Amino acid sequence: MSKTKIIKSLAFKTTLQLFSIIIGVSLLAAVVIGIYIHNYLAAQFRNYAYEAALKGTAVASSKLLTSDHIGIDSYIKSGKVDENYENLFLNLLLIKDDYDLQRCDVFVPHEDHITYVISSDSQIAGEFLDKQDPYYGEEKDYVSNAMNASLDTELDPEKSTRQNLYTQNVKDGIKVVTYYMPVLDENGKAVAVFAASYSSDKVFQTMWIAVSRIIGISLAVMVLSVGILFFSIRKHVIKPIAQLTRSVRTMKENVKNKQAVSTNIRTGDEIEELAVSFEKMNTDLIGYIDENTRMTAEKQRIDTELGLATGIQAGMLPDQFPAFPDRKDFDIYASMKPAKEVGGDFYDFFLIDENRLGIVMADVSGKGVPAALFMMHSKILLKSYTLMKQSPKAALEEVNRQICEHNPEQMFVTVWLGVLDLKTGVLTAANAGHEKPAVKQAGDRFALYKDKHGLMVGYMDGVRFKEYELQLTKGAKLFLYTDGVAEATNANEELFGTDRMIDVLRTVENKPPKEIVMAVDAAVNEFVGTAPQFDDLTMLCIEYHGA
Amino acid sequence: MEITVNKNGTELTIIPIGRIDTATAPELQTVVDENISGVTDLTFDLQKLKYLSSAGLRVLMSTQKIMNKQGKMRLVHVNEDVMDVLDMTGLTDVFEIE
Repeated sequence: MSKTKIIKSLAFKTTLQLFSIIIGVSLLAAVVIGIYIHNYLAAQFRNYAYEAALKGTAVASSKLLTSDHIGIDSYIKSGKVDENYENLFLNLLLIKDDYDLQRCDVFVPHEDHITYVISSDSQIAGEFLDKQDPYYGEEKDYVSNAMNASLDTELDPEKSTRQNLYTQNVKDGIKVVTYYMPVLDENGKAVAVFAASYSSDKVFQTMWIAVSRIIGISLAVMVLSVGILFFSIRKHVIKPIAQLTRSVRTMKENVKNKQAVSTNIRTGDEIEELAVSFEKMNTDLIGYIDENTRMTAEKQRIDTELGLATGIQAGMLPDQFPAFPDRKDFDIYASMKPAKEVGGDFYDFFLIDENRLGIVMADVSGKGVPAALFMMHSKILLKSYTLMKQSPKAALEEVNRQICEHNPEQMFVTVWLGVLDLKTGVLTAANAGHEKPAVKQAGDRFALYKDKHGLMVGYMDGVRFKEYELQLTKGAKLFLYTDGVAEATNANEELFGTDRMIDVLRTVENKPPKEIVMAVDAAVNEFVGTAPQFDDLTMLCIEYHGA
Repeated sequence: MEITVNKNGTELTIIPIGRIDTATAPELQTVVDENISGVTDLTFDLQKLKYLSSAGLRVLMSTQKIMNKQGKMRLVHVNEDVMDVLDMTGLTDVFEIE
């Protein structure tokens, strides 16, 4: 379908354009040639008329003036014709036919009229009428020019003074050119005028015949050339293009099968160039697809590994709830949702001994794999030193020292580290640049607890951390989180903020930790809406029931 | 984020406008890296800073470490939100804040 369309449009377009050009050129040529032919013919006809006039004048002179010496005046006066006059009339008709004239007359001009002597026009032939003349009356000047001309000089064609003797006018509805010649007596005196008129329409007719022949011949030549061109285009342009089109159609298969394409187009012109480029493109494409396949495989490998890493990271955090099903003195729940496959946030909790629970909430600077690696390191150190030192302050200082020892990327981690005495409800905690915890004492409402802040872990060696104690009442709740909660951003670039967080916490403050965490998570998700999750989202909630 | 940089001999003023978060912090790092050589007096003008994330803090902190060796660095026009972040991270003791 589309193939035929291509062939049609190309061949027809070219042909059409050629036709327009050739027709334009032919028309121009016809006009130029027509004008040339017209001028040539006009001159030619004028010459004929001139010759006719010369000849007619001579005949008229001999017949009217010399042979029987009867003279023009006697014809005019007597109104009688003789054999000689009849003879002249026949000669006049012969001249008219020979030279293809419209009409010829001999007349004597007067002041305000002319007297016909003889005319080729049958209507007045043989009559000697003294009358106002419709045929020559308008051209007095030329008539008088003729009467005053001398044959030797002014009538000599070489001297080009004939303009005075001919004029062009429409007479009896026909466009004619009229020549006026003097009829001389034996003394060389002009006694009458010979007028020869020929139709200039004949010039046009003759010209039209010539021009239409030219147009006819050029049309024939044109149709032939365009026909040849049409088949040439089909052979040298359209067929190779159609072949190329077929190759393009099968390209997908060829590329898929990694098969180089050979179009076999050897036209030695731009089309071959195009075909060769296409073959190269095909080969290049196979190369690129190979490359792309390799890269995709590589990406899949990385994705798989990241998936495994996510599993390992998640597996490192205590995520089985209830975490301590046989303990009635506290209930704990936590969740971590990384923004990328692996995150930098983490939480941790562990029993140091029968009566003390270690709680960690931390946020590593940056995201993704670097943050995750740093997070693993930090998490292990924090748990180990908390178990070893049993004091948040001492543990943080030791972890800071360990991290600062080898930290070329200058990464850091904000940490809230607490140890809860489950017997007494005393919480000992230290905050290394982390968010303020939210605390709800029994019978009270959730509020941010403005604890003492120290520098984050990993920034500077030898930092001292501040430790504080907080007495939890029975039924108290502690909510820990990372900046992913406080700084969750919606499409309008508004931050979720701790105020909103406290509001949400207060609506669910009497629920168990799991429901509290899920409520905040839901509220953050609703707030963020369609905006992408940009930071890890990590929360932990513990409820102290008392010993 | 947009960053305006004014350098006058060994004095350098960097004015970040908008948010410095994980996505834009590398831009700030690049600006610092390109201009810090030979600077003895570095000022961060934070008047038009709306938000400073931990990634941005990291840039300020690493810059502070460089400036500890070659001159001094200070933060001016610190607004309340940014000051909260600095308070929380304990960095008010580390930076010179005016």
